[in-house]
Amino acid sequence: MTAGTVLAAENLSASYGPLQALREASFRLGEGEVVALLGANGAGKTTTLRAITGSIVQVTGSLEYTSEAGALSLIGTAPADAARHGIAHVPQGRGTFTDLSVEDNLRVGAMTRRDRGEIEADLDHWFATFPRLKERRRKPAGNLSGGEQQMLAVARAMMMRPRLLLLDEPSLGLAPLVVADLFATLGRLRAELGVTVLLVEQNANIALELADRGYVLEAGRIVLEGTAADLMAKDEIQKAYLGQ
Amino acid sequence: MDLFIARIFDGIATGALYASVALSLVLIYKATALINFAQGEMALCGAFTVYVLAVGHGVNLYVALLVAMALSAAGGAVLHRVLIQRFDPRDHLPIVLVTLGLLLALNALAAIVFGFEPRRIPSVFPRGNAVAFGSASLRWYTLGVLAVSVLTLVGLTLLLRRTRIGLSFRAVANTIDSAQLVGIRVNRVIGVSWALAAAIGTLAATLYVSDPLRQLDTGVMERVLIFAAAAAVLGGLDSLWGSLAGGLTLGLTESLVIGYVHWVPPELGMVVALLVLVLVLVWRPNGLFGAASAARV
Repeated sequence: MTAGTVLAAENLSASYGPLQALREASFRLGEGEVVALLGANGAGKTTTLRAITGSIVQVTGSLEYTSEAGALSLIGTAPADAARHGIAHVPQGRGTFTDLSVEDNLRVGAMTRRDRGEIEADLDHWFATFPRLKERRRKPAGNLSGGEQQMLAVARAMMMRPRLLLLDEPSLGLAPLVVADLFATLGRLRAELGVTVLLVEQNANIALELADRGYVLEAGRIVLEGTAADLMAKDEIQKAYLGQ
Repeated sequence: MDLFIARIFDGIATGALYASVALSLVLIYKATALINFAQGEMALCGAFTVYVLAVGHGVNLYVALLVAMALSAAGGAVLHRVLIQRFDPRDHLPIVLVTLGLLLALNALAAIVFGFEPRRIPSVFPRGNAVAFGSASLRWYTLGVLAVSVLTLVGLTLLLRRTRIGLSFRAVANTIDSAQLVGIRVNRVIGVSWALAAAIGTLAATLYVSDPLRQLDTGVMERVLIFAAAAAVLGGLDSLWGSLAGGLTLGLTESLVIGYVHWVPPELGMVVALLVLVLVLVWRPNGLFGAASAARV
């Protein structure tokens, strides 16, 4: 493994019963990188994220993660352990704790931490970043709009102070303006926080604008990879995902 | 009039105990969306533990009660760990069947160990009356039982609202998948709720049979569990305060209907309570205090 690698997958396969959703995928995330995982519905993008956090059982291949404490294999870890190793996963549909208040959603995000004072400081930081969330801090999170819930999901994940952030289709179901706003925020955050991000998106255009590099999945296999600029310029990407 | 007041007091005392057992059901329901049908028999074992310690070995009654609650909590956690945790918490039917099996097993165990002969537990509260209204009187027992129910409720509410474990519990109760992703060890949290529920159940069962008018036998919790389950549903199943409202409603209904509607024999008291349950649910499908979960997706 090269220096500064956060996650390296070699021949990673994952299946749900007889259905193999990911076939021998190999990819790498460097420290501080934002990497986009692109592809159509059912290409295996979500499966890849779920394999990383251990939300599916049948995973083979190697999945080496380097935490601050050292290198470890993520094959066979439970989701709660992935979080304890500093991996924050914002699932598709945002995973909002709808009955909990906005503030409690953020506090729950810091569940793996013990540094009380710092948690309070982070809470203030995220309320300052997303004033809309602050206004509604005592309201049930289920009452927030889709865009606000996505902001909340990102802030909740960041409350963990993760080393690796997994974002599953953050643009899903949001109006174009809200998506633009969200990605602008993500762009600011990446400069600010330096967290490593694996971003799953169907919206390749907006994802590649944010990302350093990208991988393209098709029917469970990685068929293309390259820098964001390269991928953006590729004809097949343009045709398949950018609608041009 | 005095008789009426006496019946109200009776209803409150019984209702408060239904509420306490309902609370233990609601606690597990909130975490896992299922009803632990063995809750009553677990509490029965707890009450027998108090009996063995206090009557059999002459331990101070209050010490015996605390020890039995602690043992019940440990027992609840172990039962969860050994029997329940092996099933996916999202898959309810197998777990419900296991709790039904546990109900039968614990009941049989109590019968094997203690036989069917009724026993007496000394009264936890002072005997006699606290206040008299004419010929009707408010017993210390009634006051004590009500106080314990309310205090348990307040304590649990504070635990859920103010502590870290409470926040994990509410997160698990809301959505297990997201709770795992933020690093909460879901099974551990559910295990804690089993422990708490078991301790509360033992407290309630002991208070129930420590009424000088009642006795401890292996059948005593069946009826309590049915009323408690009804009280929990009446209160909305996921509401702690709802279980108190539900318990009191059912306790009062039972007492007043049996007292005043003479063509209803006392044996049918339970049916009347269930009728109230059906009527309330027709009027309010989510129970008295149940929240229809609001969410945008």
